[in-house]
Amino acid sequence: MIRTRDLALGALWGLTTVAMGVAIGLVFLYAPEERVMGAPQRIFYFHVPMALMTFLSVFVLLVGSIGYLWTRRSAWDDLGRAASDTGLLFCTLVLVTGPIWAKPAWGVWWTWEARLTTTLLLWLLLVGIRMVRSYAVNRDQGARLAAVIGIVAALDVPIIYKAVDWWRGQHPVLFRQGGGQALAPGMSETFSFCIVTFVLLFALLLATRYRLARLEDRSLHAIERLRAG
Amino acid sequence: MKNYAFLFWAYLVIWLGLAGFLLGTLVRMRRVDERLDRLEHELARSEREG
Repeated sequence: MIRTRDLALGALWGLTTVAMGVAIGLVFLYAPEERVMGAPQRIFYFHVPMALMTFLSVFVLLVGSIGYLWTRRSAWDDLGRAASDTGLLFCTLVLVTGPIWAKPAWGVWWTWEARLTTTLLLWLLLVGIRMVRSYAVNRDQGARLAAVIGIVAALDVPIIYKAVDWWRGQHPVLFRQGGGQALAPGMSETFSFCIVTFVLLFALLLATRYRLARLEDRSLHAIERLRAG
Repeated sequence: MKNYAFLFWAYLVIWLGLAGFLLGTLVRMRRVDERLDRLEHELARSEREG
């Protein structure tokens, strides 16, 4: 029998696939060419939503980490595990697509600019979470250490957001109090649609990864029961 | 045309990353699902046998 959860996940799959197709169409066929940067600017329609989804993942990671440290229930740890993996994926893609844009725009692949450096720090913290889970003596120790690093990672997010203002970085700013860089008509609709698409994608990845974590939990529990006889 | 090479590589990286993550998760999910079925089957058998 097909469960409601499977149907919901299937519907999310379908919706995300369609939205992603439309987003690609808008990025390449509808959005006008930016006058100064030209074609490489079109990476921004995916780069910025992925950065926002990194922040959203880290927020969910913070909720899961606090929940686990408070209650010690595995469901919170599973949520943190799903969120840190999803966040690591988006953060990696942000760090890869950023330099692909930076090379034609700035002339260099990488610079130790404040926002780039603090984003790299977040990536290292998310990698650290995976490492402590792998090397911990037992599941509880790994979950506790991962939760603490998860909270530290969440503290890095407002620093990334404000880095350009605090250290006068050269990274373009889209969202700023009093208005960032205004988008031309056609660009703003495309950008908004891409954000909605990536929220759907984030929900899909998080739900799938959470389900995997729950299954792994049940499997570990069954092994323990078998060993106990 | 030279500019579009950057876009091609950027979007290729994104698609590969997303597809790899999703496929990896689905493959792991199927494996864990099968292992869980096997374990639950074994558990039920050992409980029946006392």
